[in-house]
Amino acid sequence: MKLLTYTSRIQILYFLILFGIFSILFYLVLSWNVLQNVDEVLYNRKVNLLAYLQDNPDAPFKGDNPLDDFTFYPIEEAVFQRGKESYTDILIYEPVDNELDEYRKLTAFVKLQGKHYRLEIVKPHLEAAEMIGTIAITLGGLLLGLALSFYLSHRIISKKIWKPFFEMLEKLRHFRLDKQQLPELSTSPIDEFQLLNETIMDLVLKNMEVFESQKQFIENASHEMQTPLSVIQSRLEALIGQAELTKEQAEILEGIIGSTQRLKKLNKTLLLLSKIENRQFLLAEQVDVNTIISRSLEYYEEQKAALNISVKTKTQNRLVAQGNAMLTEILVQNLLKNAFLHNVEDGMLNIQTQDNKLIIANTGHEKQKKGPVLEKNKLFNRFYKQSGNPDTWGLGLAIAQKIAETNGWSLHYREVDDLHIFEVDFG
Amino acid sequence: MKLLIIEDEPQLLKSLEDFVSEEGFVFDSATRFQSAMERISLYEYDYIILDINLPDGSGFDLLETLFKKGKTDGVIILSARNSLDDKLKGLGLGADDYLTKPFYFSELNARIKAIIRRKQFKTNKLVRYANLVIEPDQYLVGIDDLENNISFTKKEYAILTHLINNHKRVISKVSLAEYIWGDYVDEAQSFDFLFSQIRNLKRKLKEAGAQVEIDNIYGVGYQIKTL
Repeated sequence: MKLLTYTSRIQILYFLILFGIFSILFYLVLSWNVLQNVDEVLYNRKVNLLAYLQDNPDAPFKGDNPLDDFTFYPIEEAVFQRGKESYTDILIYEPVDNELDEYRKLTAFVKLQGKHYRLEIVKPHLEAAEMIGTIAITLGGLLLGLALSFYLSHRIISKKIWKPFFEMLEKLRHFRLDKQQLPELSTSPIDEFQLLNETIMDLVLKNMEVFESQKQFIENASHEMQTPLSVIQSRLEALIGQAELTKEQAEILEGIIGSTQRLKKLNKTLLLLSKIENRQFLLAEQVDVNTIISRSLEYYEEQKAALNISVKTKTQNRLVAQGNAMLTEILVQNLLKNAFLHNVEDGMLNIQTQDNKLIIANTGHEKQKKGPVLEKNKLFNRFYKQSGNPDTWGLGLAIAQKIAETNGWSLHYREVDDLHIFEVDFG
Repeated sequence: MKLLIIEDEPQLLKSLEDFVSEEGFVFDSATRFQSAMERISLYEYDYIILDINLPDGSGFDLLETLFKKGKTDGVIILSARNSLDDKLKGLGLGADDYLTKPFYFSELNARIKAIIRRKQFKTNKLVRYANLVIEPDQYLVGIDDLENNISFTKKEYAILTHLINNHKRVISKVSLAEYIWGDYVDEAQSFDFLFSQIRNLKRKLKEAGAQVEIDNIYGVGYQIKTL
């Protein structure tokens, strides 16, 4: 969920809860206030009425007169003694609009001209239902307006405020340590974002530095290793030419030569990888992929014959990729090597080129129920190998992937009907 | 023919010296940039084996001096830096070849022989070994003359010429396999293939009546010998 949506939702929820609480409080306060007012009016009326009747003893007050709002009921003295003044809510039928209306009634016990009376004064009350309705409509409208304008302004402001942040995110998402390109983060007027920007830039710079020195280290180490390797190799070659070599010595020498060769190849491979990463290759060459394929295939004649693999090539007239010729050759070579190496007896290998694509499909060992499963996401990792073959390092596909990436191509692997398919998109 | 070896690593220099004397070259050697500069200003060399990284200077500066004199013909660069820029720069300055360390002497030898052939006149281009005659431009091999040439596959031809180029030494099967298959094929597999290639090669040579023999030195390497 987006931060903006999340905060907006929470704000709206709080708004609703607050609105509910305030509405209830508002209603309670309002109705208490109204009640107080009505009661006050009733009390004042009583006081005024009694004062008037005190001054004008002739005024007719007994009996129920529909012109006034009060009624005096004569009562016994005993009742008068016990009587207490009280305010009550009553409902009175109103024939005009055919409904029961709410009224407030004051019941007082008074003594006028020596006689005891129960005085009832009635005043219309504000109706609760109407009040709630009015409150709901006005408050609801108010809330809706408020919420809407709040939400919109919040969105607009947030969008503006968070814009540099999202820009930064987007740039960081596309940032690649090996591309040797600093992400350009736009400055923000907000201190926190500015601080974040600076911190990220610091981090990026430090990382690039570490990455750079790491790369440099690998390259330097590989370079430095080449001279001693040359010496070992040349000395070994000189040694095997010596006539008095015994069989035992020859065997020992063979082991050393083999290991030196492996070391040499590993060194060469690591050097190649670091060179690709350092982008030391010209990438603007026009590379004829079909020629590379047919030339490379010559090297696999023996393997083809040894395993009786049927190789089918279906190529377009011309497939020209833009990239580096040498790297393309290594890419094709590594894919073919892989396809032959993991093939089975009487297997097959289909090579196909079409619309800027190279597809290499080969049969392979059947999946074992137990044992290691080919982990697709690790397939292009360095030093990942499924076979226990000690003669491979699992660097071939890593290099192929790196080459594709450097040239701006994509290399994919998929499995269809027991066929292992590698597809290079030279797009 | 005189050769100059410029290499600062003593062990490698020793190997190179052993190698060129075995091949019958007259040679001088220099381990530093300054002494190398002196030598090229004083003497004339037919071939120069040049290491690019020297402790007191760059081999490229030497190459440039040679280039100004028009004497870069016959220079083989040895470098620990297999970068394309270096290669292009070296070859651009007129160097004949570029080898990356670590290299096999058999490979260096093949490169030197190729340069020698290129320098020689066309009539002299045929390579003779025992009763074998080889025409490198057309990949032809015959007995005594090229009339009845023996048909070899590309790889058999490559193995045979590589063995003949290096007939003075034993070529390890590792270097031979690398020469033929490069990085394309895994080593362990390539040994089997090499074995069968050489078996076919031997059979064809024998059938044609070539007076050569390919010795297998306890499975470590091969050497061609005249009978």
